[in-house]
Amino acid sequence: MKINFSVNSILMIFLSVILFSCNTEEETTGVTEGKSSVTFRERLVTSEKIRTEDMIVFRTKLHEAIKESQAGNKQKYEEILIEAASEYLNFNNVAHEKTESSSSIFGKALALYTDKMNELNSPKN
Amino acid sequence: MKKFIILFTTLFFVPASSSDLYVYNNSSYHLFYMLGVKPISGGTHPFLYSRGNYPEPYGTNLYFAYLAPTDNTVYSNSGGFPFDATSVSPVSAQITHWVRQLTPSSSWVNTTNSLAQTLFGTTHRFCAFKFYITDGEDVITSGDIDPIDLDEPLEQDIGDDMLGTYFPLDGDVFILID
Repeated sequence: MKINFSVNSILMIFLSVILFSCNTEEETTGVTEGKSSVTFRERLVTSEKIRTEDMIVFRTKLHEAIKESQAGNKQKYEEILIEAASEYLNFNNVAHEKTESSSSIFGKALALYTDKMNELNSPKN
Repeated sequence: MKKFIILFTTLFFVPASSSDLYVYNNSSYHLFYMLGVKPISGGTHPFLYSRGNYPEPYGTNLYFAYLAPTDNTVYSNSGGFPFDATSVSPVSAQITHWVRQLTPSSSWVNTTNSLAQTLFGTTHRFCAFKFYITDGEDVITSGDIDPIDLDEPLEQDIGDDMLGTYFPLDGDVFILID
């Protein structure tokens, strides 16, 4: 009986340690991903370049799309690119058709992003 | 025989899908660049580099195309990769011709845009973006954006707090400098 109790106790402690370490790992991963996203956003915000909030959101989403691709989610990468481009164009009242190709919509969004950069930031030379 | 004729006709008349190439210079600086192109089927050769109207850094050889701060351009041709891009704007971004190397040990040969389009338009794809960036006087940074996997996007620090990003999408290529 005593031996059984000891074995059970050790087993319980062992399981607790495993559960605790798994939980810690998840939390750590979540924090790291969050920090990565914030860091990129902060990089845009603190840049010398002037960007409006919609531009920052658009560019941050492009960064997140690349992260998805690097994680092996190719489909998610394309979905985020198109979603980000469509939202950015809609926000700026730029027309685009649902029948347009993905690359056409993305190209329009990047061109608009460049135009706005040009408007907001006068070249140094 | 009938099937063969139909197949032949289909292959002959189906247009090659275009592969547009977009370049966006969202930096405050002057972007000079050349494009590298290699076979879709794999391997590195025949390899081609674009030639533009702008000199190498601190040199006189005219190698590079140019985009002013916050300017962008698109290269497009319905016959596959845009070696002979139609109506490129601004003029500074135009490719004057290409140089091709058939094998790693062979010499570089000048090739007109139209000949490159005919020979390699449907067999080649973008593979490298070689660039240097100046503030109008000095070179601030230089390098290559040459993804190992051309089907994967790539975001890299190119120096002076700037990013060079490669986005492949639906067969098209987007290069963003910001």
